[in-house]
Amino acid sequence: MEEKKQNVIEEASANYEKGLVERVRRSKDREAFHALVKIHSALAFSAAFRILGSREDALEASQDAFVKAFTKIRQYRGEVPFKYWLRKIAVNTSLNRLRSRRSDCLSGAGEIYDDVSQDSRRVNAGPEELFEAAERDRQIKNALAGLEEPFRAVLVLRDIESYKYEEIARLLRISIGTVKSRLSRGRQELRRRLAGKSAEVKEHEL
Amino acid sequence: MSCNETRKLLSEYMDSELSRGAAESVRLHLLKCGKCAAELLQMKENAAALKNVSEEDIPEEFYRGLEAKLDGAELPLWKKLGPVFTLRNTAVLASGVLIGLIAGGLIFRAGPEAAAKVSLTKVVIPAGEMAKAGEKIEEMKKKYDASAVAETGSFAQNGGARVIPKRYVLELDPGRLDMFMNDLRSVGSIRSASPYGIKAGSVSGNGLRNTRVEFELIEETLPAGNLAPDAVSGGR
Repeated sequence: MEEKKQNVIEEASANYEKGLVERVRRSKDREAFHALVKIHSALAFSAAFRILGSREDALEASQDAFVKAFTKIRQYRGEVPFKYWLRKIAVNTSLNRLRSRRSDCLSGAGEIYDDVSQDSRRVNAGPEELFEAAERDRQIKNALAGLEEPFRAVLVLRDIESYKYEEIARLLRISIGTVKSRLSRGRQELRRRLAGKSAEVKEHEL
Repeated sequence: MSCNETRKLLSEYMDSELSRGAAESVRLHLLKCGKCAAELLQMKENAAALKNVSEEDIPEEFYRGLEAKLDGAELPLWKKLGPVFTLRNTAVLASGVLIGLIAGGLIFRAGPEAAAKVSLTKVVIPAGEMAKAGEKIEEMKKKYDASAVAETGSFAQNGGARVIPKRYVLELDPGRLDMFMNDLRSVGSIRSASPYGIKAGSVSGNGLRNTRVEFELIEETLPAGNLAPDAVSGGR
């Protein structure tokens, strides 16, 4: 019964979203687009933030992604849910931004550094007793943010965005071999960061 | 296979990207090496945790910035209305179209010609004043902007939200009414407000027969999380 209810809700929201998309397609209806933005803004911003590692950059990139979605809405044919389409745009926009940032090395490195420290400040300010899941979430976000950019990008594309190796190679303009080695190093590094002291103890026990 | 060799392959092993032979070697090593097996387990757990990582909070400025970018991406309303609104257009001058009424005034949005992406210039004209079609936007800014701001004070930032309600009465060629209404509705950050809504009627004057449109616009920069989709109301 619960499942049935869930299905009905899902179908209704899918229909609602379809209607909104249709309105944007037909007449560039900003009101409808605003509703879509509200539904998916966190998704787009989060995807951008994980790739760029900077809130400021992620803000710009996710906004640009929505502008792109708005102006290119006719290219969306509805084969996949809107959020997948949008997410793809957000990822692409973020990667473009990553590339342009890379050519401006100084500011790129600075921003990442700033943001990692900002992130930990934010986390430290939270309540002392967090639920285990929230704590785990925080840890993994911090560990991810702490990775060097080339490793983080590959890891995000693979483990969060679920791209195949070949797609990652194409998106980042690197060879498949490089994808494999960065992914391996990134995962190892993430594991080390997450393992922390407790896991080190475990390792000694083994 | 040694632990070091295995470690290098764990990532691909996890993604089933290894050749059959290499995968088999890794599997055999994992069977007898608890440390490497534990490492693989951790990596798998981490990948799962990454997949489920929570979404970020949207920064306050997100919606404001997006609005501005969307405005830039679209042809601005007043520009789309070209023949009606372009300040240099003599047809507008002839019919003396724009009359600011009541306590409000008029907001002009005009941009440099050609480029689709223009920065919008806003000019507020105090009530009772009339904009002439030939006036240059810069001159208009000088003439009206400062006094209007001082008078209404509505440009002040108020908790992140800026609200500028203005009532407009506009007379235009009946043939352009539909286009105008559509454009009006397409501008998200501008909406008509009750009790006026948008109403259109017929007027004649100066020997010209024009359609009279009354509407109230509220232009506001909304605070985050309050991107109200209740945009233009009121019937045609």
